[in-house]
Amino acid sequence: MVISEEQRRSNEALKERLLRKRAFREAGPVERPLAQLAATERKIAEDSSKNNKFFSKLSKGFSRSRPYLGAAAKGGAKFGGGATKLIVKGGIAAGSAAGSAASAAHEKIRDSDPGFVLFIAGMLVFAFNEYIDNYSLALIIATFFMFYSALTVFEKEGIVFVTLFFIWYVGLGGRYDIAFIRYYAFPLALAGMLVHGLVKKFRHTGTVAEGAIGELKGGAIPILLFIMDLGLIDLLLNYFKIPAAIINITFLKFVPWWGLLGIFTTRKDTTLITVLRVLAILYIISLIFVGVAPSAYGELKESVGTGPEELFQARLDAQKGIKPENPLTSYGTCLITGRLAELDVCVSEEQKKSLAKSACKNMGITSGAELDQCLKDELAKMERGGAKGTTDLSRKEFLTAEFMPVKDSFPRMVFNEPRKIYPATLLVKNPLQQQLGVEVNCKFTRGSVEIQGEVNINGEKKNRQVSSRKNDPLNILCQPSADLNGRYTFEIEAVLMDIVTTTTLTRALVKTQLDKERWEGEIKSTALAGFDSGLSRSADEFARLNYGFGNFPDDPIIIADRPVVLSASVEDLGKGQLKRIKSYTFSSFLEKGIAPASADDQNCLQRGEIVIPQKVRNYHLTECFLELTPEYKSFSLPFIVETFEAQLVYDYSLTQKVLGIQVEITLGK
Amino acid sequence: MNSKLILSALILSSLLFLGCGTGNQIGPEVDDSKIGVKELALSSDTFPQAVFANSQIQGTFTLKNNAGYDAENVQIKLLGLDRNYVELLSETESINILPGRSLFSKEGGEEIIAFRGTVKNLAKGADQNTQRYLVLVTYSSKVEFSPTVCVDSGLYLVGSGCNFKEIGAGGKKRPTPETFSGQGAPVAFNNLEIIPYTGTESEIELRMKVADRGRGQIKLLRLGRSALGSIPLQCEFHGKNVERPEGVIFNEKASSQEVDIVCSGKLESGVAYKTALFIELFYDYEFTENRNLEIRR
Repeated sequence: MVISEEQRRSNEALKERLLRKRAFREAGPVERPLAQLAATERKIAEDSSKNNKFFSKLSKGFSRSRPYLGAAAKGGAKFGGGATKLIVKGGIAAGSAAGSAASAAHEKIRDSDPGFVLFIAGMLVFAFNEYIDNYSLALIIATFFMFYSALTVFEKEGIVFVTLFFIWYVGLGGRYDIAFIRYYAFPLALAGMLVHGLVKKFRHTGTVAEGAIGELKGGAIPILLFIMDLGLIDLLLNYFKIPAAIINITFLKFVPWWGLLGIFTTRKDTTLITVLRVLAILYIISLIFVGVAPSAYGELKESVGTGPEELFQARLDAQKGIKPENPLTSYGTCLITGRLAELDVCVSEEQKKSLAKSACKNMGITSGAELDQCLKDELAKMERGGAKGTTDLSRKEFLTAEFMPVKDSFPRMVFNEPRKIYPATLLVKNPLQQQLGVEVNCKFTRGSVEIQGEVNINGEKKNRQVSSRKNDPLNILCQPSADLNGRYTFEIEAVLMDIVTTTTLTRALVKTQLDKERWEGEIKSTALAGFDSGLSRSADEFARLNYGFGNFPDDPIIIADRPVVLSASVEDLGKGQLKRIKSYTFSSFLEKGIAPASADDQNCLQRGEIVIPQKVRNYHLTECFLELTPEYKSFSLPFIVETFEAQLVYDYSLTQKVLGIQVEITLGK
Repeated sequence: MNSKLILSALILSSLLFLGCGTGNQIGPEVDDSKIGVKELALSSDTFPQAVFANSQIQGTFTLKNNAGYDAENVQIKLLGLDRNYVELLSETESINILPGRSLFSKEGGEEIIAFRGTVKNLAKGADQNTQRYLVLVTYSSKVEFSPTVCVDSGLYLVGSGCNFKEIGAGGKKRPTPETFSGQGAPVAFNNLEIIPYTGTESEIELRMKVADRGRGQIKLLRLGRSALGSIPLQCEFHGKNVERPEGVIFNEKASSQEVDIVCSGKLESGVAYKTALFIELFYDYEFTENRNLEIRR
């Protein structure tokens, strides 16, 4: 995308030819050719002088062609900032300031190598990315890079598009729904392309098409990188639930995008730059081929909006979640420690270690003997492999609950009503008619200020309701308990209480190893047919109890004369958070007299409350050896098949957030 | 005179022709029950394929013995029905003897076996559950191998019937083993090779290959009586599964089950003669059939 010196000269020449042509036209009939030539030269000199003055006023002698674009860019960036301030204020101002800063920086370093500057800055930011946990700072950095690259690297080609995008994205909170894209995003892009095209046309520096395409190219890349930098990948995975397999997360997450843009657009042409480019390509290739378990990521969170704050929050969520280190770091460690002969094994071990470390950090354990023990436990858990489960598709009726999306009529902008009532609707479908409690709380937050709301459910001033109705929509109203003034985030939380999710697990029992060898094929083609038939199954509810039971927990065929182990975990599947496990019971085992083999494991089959302070995708519950009853040890048939049931009783929290509620109190009020 | 003679010859010829032409009706019946591969057949026309949860289940299976021998200790078992959803009063039903086909019972024996039980409730929220189960049939029976063979204690000889020719004469080679299409059971003698000992005493060795040619599998093989004419033979099993010479237990499920039987004995005469070979083989056999049972709410 960088315009070369040669191309720049060519543009200059073209411009001069156009000026000469125009001057000739304006000079009148060809009566005195020499006089006309002299007039033409004079005209060129004047035009050139005018241009220089115009440009020097706006961009202090910008030496390249199309100086008006520089002005437009600067103006656009400033306009972006200004417009944003008018609309949203607060943290958004940070982004606008970054835009202006990018413009100023551009002026200062326009004669230097912007690609190289971007490379250095991008790499530095990437190196400290882990520590950037402040939204405003992240927004400032991303905005700076976006405007900087648009202004310098792409030489303002896409500046209109970028500016319009910035106003929309930051100022209006950034919406991704199809309707918005259809009605606003495309027209915005088209407007940008048209403006740029027309400017090019009227300035005689190119055609409308050239300007439009340049606008699209020069704008799309900075915008794309801006979104990626703020954490779009996490958003794609977590908010839109795009299967992780489709996106190579490692590839996208561990790439210093701004740095790469810089290294591939720098004007420097040294051996070092060439080497760095090759290394960058190798880095990307290695990331593609090394790969990391996508399941390492995956904090699910519900939100109605998907603006930059949500993107950033998604990135933070992913950072807070359990994740491995950059695989190349693992490679480095293995190379340094000299484990070249077993590089694959070493990298895998290092990745596991980093996962364990991340898990311990997530639990708040960061040092000392406690950390050592935690690492040991986490690694042991990984070696064992947690109990796995799957969705029972035959169970068509199950509990669902979700907040209805916020309607257009939601009062996002409020004047002179500091205690306006804000609505929300929780749709609960309870086909099995469980006795279900719902506790609702709401609040309005602005920075560190938090104002609680008073809740009204279905016309009654209460925040709890117990119901077993099949369809029970909760119309919730929330009124702030103190006056609001300014921009707030409205957050409403509904905790569904005492949800019972039943999990089944089917096992075949044979008496001896010989029987297993004889009947395994038949069992796996009939009673336990299907690749996931050995997994525990539950309805597609908010959380489930996963468990395995057998000589090995995952093996669906149990040899009855060998020790039998039970392993169980809880998996949080919903968009909200599993708040509390009220109890779990392996009812079938208890009913049939299957008991823990050791007296120390008496809580293995049944346990009371467990509080889970933060969202954890998989929570390990228990593991113990079980003693089978004679009924399961000696039977007349070659094998028997039986399904065992277990119940999980829990509370689950669903949250809806509405960002950017603006309450303005006018002076007269 | 001539015409009387011709007429008499015609009448006599006609009588002879008619007599030969209706031989099947008036002659002895041919017993084909001990030919080919024949075995037990299972049908389950009345056993339900779909039932409702919280209901009773009952149905029958029909077993028919198409083999040429009686089947004893017949057991039919329903395997793989999830006990959490289907509870049968008995998962195994037995029949002492199921007669095979014979001259007196051309169709073979047939028995109807009934199963009863309870279908329990489905898991919460489930509207149906499909049970894939097996019907396992096990029984004991036998197979008899009784061809007529020509034996000779001399040099290796080849030929049809007892018209032997010396090996080497006229480019003759040792004969390939004679093949058989089955003896009316799933376990079949596939081929027979007769090897006379040369020199010394009049001894002979008979080598046979026995294999499972039915749809199930052999669990056990045991040798019964064996004789060449009136002289008893000493027989034993050979092969990779053989641990004891008098019997073979098949534990593993193999794609083809085949074993060798080698018998030896003394001949009645040093001259080639035609005689009856008789080998009795007892076996335990089992086969399975897949079935589905859909439980609906």
